[in-house]
Amino acid sequence: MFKAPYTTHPVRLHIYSHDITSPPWIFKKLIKEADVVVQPRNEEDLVEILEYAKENKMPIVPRGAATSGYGGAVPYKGGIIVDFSKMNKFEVDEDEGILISQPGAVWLDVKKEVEKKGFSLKVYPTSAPSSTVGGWISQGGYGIGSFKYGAIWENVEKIRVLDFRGFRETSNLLFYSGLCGTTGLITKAWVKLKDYVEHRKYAHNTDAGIIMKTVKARPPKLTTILLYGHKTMELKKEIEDPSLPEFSAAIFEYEDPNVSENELGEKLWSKVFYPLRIKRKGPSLIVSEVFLSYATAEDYIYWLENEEIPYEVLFAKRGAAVLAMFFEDERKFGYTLAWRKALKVMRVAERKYKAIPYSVGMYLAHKAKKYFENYDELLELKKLVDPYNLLNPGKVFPSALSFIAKIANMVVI
Amino acid sequence: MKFEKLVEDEAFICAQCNFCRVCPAFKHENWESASPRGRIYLIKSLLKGEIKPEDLDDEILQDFFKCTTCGECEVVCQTEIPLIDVWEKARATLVKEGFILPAHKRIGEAARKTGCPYGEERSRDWWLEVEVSEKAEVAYFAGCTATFRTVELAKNTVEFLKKVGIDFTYAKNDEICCGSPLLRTGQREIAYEFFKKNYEEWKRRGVKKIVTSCSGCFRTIKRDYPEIAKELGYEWEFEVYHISQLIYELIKSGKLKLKKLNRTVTYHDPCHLGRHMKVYEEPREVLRAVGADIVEMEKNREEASCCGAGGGVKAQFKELAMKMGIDRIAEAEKTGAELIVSCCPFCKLHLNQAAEGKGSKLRVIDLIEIVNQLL
Repeated sequence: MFKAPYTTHPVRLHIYSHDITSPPWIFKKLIKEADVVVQPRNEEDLVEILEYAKENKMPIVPRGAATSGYGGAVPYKGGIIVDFSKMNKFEVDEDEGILISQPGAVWLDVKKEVEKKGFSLKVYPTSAPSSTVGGWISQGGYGIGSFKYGAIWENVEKIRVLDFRGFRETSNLLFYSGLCGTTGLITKAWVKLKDYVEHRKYAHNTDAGIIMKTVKARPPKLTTILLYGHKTMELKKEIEDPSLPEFSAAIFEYEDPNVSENELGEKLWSKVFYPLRIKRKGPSLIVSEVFLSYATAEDYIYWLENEEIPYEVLFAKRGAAVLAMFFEDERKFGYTLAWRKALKVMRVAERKYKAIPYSVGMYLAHKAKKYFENYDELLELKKLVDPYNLLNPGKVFPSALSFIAKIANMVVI
Repeated sequence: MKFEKLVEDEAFICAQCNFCRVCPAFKHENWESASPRGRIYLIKSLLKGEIKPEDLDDEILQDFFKCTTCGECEVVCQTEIPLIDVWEKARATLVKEGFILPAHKRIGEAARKTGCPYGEERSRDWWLEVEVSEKAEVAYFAGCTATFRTVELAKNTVEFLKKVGIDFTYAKNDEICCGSPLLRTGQREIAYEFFKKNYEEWKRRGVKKIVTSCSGCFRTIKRDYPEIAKELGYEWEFEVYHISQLIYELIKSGKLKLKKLNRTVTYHDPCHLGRHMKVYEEPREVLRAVGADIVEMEKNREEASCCGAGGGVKAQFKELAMKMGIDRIAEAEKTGAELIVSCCPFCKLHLNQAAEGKGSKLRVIDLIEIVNQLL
């Protein structure tokens, strides 16, 4: 079938046909499993995969580490899962201060290496121990460093992309970041670095209102602000570390070696890659994740506090990414109800506080028009580069599934 | 398929985050069916009925068992799943359901027949050249690998105990395998029989403290035996020590003075002593006490890479075990050390084979060999 390693073993296909979300049964029924999983080793392998897909009219589903929860790496219509784990090489252009990376490189591996060479990443995801360079760019989003440096797409100089018209190199990330590979597969990325600097962390009891003063003051060396609501801190205390306080607290990360660190900062930072540890409370976790401008973020965060909903906030350059969490057990009937709760909270965020979804992927594809300001242009590009709709169908651009999701949304809320 | 409650609960707690990609076996495999995340997802799918037991063909079963139970996945787990226990209990269920790999089955049959997973029929005290007490408060437990494969460990331990004047007993041919390879490969029932035999022998000899030079035996006797005792209704009141702990205690209390070792060494943490039992510092303290210059490998202590031999991997997947062993030797070579020191006969056996396979000049020596030579 392919020169690259591939598998059609049904159990293996099952193991690859999901991301970190466990959707309610109604959705699961509508999602197919992959027909084949292939691991390209280079661009030639990718060209072969696209040719095969075109010839056989099979969907292509790019997959980094499948650590997102929006269904972007789920083979909704079956087809070919392209697992980029073997395209994981990277190098640092030390003269230009640029990371040149294949899509399958893992952020934590990259971080360690760039630091050895005297550089630091400007932004990286909290899923860095496993998530990939290509995966995060394709999914879009914010991470450590985003308060100063913004979203991942703002920190990528250019990418090399393969679609049904061939390869292209582009700096227009807005046509690719957050698009889940629907407009082309990223084969290489040039990521901007900064000179190595020691980062210091400090944490204290605070709340959204107090943080907003810091947001407005925008200290030049402040790179990250992460706020944990009081219910989240209670859970962290219960599950992670009994010595943690119960009140809401925020970590501030500075690219300044002169900032004094404190114990709470060290404790919270030591688990910064472990936001899902509190999932033990579930065992299942459903999230409602939105992005708000700073005009409304504070009010929404206070609303979550008052509703006693556990949440985390990542303050970014132009707004706040707010993650509300709901714990349930997917083995129980209440699981579907918990999804309902999460959707309700998202609706409040959208209607009352003018939030947009944090990402759309597959589950929220029906909200893509609202999410992407350049949606019409994206649609044009999609038609041009993927005339048979084989590049990750059902994601971002509405499909039968997103229509069902929209109806389900209206019915359950 | 029904798994034990712990396995079922933890399978649903898994966040599928893939931080467990650090698995040293998965690095050499293509598919996630051989990764910790994939295995957990498989268990969850079996529980939910999305995968049926009849779907578990040889390929998938082999992937499931391509795990040394080293526990590197447990250290990085986002949701703190006790993965070592999960793997062992899940394996036990699979074995009970008839899903057992051929080499593991052979180990079980050999152990059942001879009391030793190697199928050795020689008397277990074939190497013993000194008199030991019939009864004593301290018992030396040599274990199968030090008895039949790396006998220098057993000899050095016995000599050392004699030299420091500890009155001890050794069960000779009445010692039986601790059951470690059987517990790791899911063959619990045989291990329970061995537990009973060893337990009764220690009782008969008036033993209160058990000392072993094997990390696998130490993990089994110190961690598994009390649980088995509880399950079977036995009273458990033995103190269990790894020889490195005993040496460290003697040095700390000033009862042991050793000559100096003027060598640069790197220390390989055996999984069963380190991650499984959290004994990281005592062996290093002993090395410091003899003046060794310790240069750490990049991955050390709880992050240390597995030698590749445990969990039935060496028996069933020789090539994979060798690749993992070579990885560890390569890491040791980078330190510039003259010697690798470790505390486990199985690690020594396998890493020395890997070093030979790689064409490396590095060799592994056990801590007890060094200490006994410097005494």
